[in-house]
Amino acid sequence: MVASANLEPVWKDIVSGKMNIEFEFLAARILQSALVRSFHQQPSPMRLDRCARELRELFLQNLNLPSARNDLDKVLGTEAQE
Amino acid sequence: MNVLLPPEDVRGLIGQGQKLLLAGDEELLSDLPAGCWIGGTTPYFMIEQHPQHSREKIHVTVLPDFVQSVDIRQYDETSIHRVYADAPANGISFIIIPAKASTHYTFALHAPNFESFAVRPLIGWISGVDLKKPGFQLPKAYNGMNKVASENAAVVMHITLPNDKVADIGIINLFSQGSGDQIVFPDDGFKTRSAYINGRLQNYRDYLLDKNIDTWLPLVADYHGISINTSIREVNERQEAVEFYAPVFSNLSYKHARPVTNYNNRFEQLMPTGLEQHLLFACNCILNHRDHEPYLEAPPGIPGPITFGEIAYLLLNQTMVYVRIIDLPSPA
Repeated sequence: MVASANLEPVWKDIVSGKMNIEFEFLAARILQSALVRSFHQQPSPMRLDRCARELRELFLQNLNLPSARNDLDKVLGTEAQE
Repeated sequence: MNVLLPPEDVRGLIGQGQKLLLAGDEELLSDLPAGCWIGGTTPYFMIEQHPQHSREKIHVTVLPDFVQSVDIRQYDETSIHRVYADAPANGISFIIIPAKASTHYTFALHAPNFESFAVRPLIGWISGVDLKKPGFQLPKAYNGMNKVASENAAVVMHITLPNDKVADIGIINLFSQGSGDQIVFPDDGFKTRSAYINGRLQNYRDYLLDKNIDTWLPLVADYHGISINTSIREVNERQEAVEFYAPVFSNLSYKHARPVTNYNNRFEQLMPTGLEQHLLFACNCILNHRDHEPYLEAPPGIPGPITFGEIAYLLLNQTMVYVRIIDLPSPA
């Protein structure tokens, strides 16, 4: 399962804190934490979109890593259930 | 290969054109020939799970032959923001930053704002000095290609991996948040006078003294399920301030760590199965190994240098960091 060109809403839910996914991929946990804090410091739709895209990009750039792949499947699996 | 070798053997490896990550005493590193290596100063090493001190040997990580290309660069406080963006698409970047350098502070405070932060794997350490050696010394990072030793700039070796391999960074943190007060700092920084303790602003030094808190135990923040430590460097009586080995951040909530009762058991629980077979590089924090009575039962560790701060994407304290190489299945 690979993320589509459009930004799936689940990425914004993760950054806004509406949804909490515990990632396996260390970089994802660290970036998630940084982005959630960055968004909450100055919340705006533009910042939410930018942070959500940044988080998704991390996964797209690391698809070879099994932990990143597992996490991406988890994220997009959640998206499909919604 | 991670080993402690005499300088003449290291010279031999450099002469063979091996790609090396080195850690050792300044006099030994300064005397090596130019070649494909980077290095940092520390005379402390973890060998076969025991901390060792040596001014006669150098810790050597020989990078495997499958490494496709190497790019060694120096970054100062004005260029360190490029460190992730400059990394290859499939590779790993090793970084060494001299302790107390302005580059150290810039990286520690601002890495999450750097372009492509965390997108590419970055691992490394903060170099230091021999705490028992008399005389003035400054921590250094070496670029082996041109033999430039820097007291301020970071040295980074970006390596490219073949398509059938990928680097995976992990951390082992023996500490977790305790059940005490919630601590929030008013500003980002390596030093503070005050903190919100359960929401009430007070002098943090006074709080530590009043509560008789063991300052060897780090502050621990929860990064979405992983514990990230910040260690206390000094409780400064004169300035009524507290200094840290890594910055605290104003938008994070901290707690002092829960004491660890049995390091060996905790380490065994946290050590990933089979790590040593795929280990490329690791380092361990000196704060876990210095003379910390009553902590004479020093924690075990992963083979590698003992360092003055660890980097796994971010600057960490009192943590072991490692990178392993994962073989990807061949395409069907």
